[in-house]
Amino acid sequence: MNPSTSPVLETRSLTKRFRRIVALDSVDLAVHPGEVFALLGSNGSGKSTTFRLLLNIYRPTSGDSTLLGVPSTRLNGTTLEKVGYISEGQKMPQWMSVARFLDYCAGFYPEWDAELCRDLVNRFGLTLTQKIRHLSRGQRMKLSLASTLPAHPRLLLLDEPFSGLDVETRAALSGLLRTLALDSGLAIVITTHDVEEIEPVATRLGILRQGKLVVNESLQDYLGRHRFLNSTDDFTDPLPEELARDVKTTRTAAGAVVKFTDAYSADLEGRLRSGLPSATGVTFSPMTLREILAAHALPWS
Amino acid sequence: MKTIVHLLKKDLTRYAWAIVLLALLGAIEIYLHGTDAGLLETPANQILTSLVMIVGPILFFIVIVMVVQEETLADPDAYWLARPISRGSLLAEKMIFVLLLILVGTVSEAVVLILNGGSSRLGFALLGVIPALAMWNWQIFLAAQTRSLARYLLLAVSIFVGFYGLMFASIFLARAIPFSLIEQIALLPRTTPRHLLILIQSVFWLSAGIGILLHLYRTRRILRSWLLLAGALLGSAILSPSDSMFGLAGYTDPSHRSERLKLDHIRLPNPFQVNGEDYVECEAVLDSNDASLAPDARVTIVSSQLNSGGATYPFESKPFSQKQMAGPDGKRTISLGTMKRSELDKITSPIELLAHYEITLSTEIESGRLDLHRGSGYHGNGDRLAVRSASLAERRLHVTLAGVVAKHGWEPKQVESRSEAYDGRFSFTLVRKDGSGTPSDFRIPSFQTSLGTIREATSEATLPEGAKLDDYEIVVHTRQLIQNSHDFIHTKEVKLVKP
Repeated sequence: MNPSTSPVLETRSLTKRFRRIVALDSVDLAVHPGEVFALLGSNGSGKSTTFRLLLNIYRPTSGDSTLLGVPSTRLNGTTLEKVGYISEGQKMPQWMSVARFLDYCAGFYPEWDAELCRDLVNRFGLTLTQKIRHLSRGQRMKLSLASTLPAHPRLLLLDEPFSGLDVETRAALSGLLRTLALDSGLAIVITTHDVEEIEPVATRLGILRQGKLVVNESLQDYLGRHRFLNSTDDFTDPLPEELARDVKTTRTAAGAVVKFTDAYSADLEGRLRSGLPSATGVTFSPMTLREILAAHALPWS
Repeated sequence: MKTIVHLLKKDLTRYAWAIVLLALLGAIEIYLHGTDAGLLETPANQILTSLVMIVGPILFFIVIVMVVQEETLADPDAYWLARPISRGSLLAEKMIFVLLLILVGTVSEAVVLILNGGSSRLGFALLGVIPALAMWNWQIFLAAQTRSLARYLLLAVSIFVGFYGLMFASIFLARAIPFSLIEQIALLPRTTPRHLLILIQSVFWLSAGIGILLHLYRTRRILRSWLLLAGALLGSAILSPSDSMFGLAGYTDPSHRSERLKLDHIRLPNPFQVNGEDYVECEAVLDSNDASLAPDARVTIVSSQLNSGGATYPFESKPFSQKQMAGPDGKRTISLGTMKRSELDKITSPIELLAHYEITLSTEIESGRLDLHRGSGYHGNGDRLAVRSASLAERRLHVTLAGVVAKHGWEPKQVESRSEAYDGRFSFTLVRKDGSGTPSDFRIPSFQTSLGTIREATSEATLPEGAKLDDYEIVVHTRQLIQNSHDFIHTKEVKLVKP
């Protein structure tokens, strides 16, 4: 991420209500070139609505957003040439063959990279003569990618891109996204329930809960401040108040009670050792993103 | 522009089959309306007519919905929403596609016009594209808001039912208050020429339609677009003639007048037989003081009946477009129709006559001749006539004609008859080919519009003993109507003079 560059995507107090339901509640967001922003949240938390507001498919109830510096409500063909959007349920012309669809999409983009398109088709194992209506869900997702990435977008919005993909392709896609972000400065916003796939790729994390953006920070920082607390014996003494605030308890899927902190630092480690003499042999171990989300009871799927 | 062409290429490829099919239907229409053979009643022609009549509009309707729904506005997951396709370009492409479909139909209409000798009216036919596009814009409007043909049909039926429900509610519950309100806001004078009204309404609806569609495509705000449509309806009502909220549909012909004929008595001059049954022709002898009927006027009996002893005796074969005849004592007569002798014998005094008629005044010029054999044809000024059948039995000549008349809304409207065959554009005289004998007015006692725009007219006449079909021909006169009028005769005690 390079915060000195202007953001390719920005929202300010973006809000969307559907009658009485608040789908998105005053979301502030900025994504810069080269960033891979993972937007997590349970079903109905407002992830897809965010994308639709950004792309002017929905109109915001209040607030505003810009894509590549252009207000979403004024998006035109020229701006959309530099924005790629892939959604899980995207409806493509069923009657077209893979080749025809790719050819058709190519006609809309002046900087279409035919070589990259061919490469993606080969990498994804797509059959050019096959009709779209005969493609599986995963194959459609691959086709969406193959029809979007060759346009060399500056911003890529991916709504559940791993959905329906086999393990091998997920890994390949993960790698491809990382390369694109690093090499060409492509900004990627990605919503997914597959936190394992996104963890190695994402540079920043956002978590939506009931339309509110409850987490929005660097993934590295987020992972860095979360640690499991491992101890050879149980803490029998009650934690001093200033430590109790930072050490939390959660239950694993197996039902075991474990302690963790979301404010890990060398200072915390020192304070713990000095403030709680009974806690001998305390060690801190890193948490995976899935473990963190589970520990916070944050719904990601 | 590049985007429009790109989208258009895709839709043309996708729906090439529909365009080919519409072009084929257009070619069939050219054959049916632009050749004498097409006007004949044959099983093949009937199938082709049904095909053009049924398949054509349905295909047109469905293709437009499908093309628009290829890139529907209603689906937030539609592929095109995230592609560099501006919504204005998308709308323009859809409108161009609809225009191409309309042009396929217009071209066939233009070819028919040329084949029927109406090249001078070609401009009016081509201008028909404008109101057609204005009308089909609404198909785009509805289709763009729905995701599938089934949903479109549901919406269209709901609107149709809702509209008529509202109309009926206005009439029965609100005592037509909305109608009178709208009538009051209409600004145009009631005598505004019809072609001028079509021009005003077409241009208005085309502009309003494009404006509302642009708003819908750019903002996808459905409610606001419908409100704009309601505003456009109000605008259209303001641009209507002051005597009608329905504008063109309720257009009043300024040439309309009322002429009340005065009856002296009914006489029964011409008995004849058909299939062993005796018939008589009933003639109304007009009062000699009645000067309202011009000598060269044509009278069409729309309906006529005698009432006697509480029973009704309708006339059969009511004559269309007849000239007055010289009756006894120099009084003029017109035929009321024919009646079976057996029916007539039942009638006793007092006799009541009810007759509704139309009178037309015109200039007539001879423009062609038809032999009395199947397939003989005439065409001119965009119209075409052909003899479907001609037969002679027991001196009774029976001729069936088929015809198409060209009508274009943009043309300055001429006076026309709503009761006569072919709108009163033609009159016919039966003459001997060798020029001997007296030409007789060949009346058209009945006509009907068969499937499509082909209109069939049948006529009968009694020929002299020994006459042959080949001895006679029909002279076609083209009429230029100057005036038409409607009225009725209601005489309670009619004098019936039996021979």
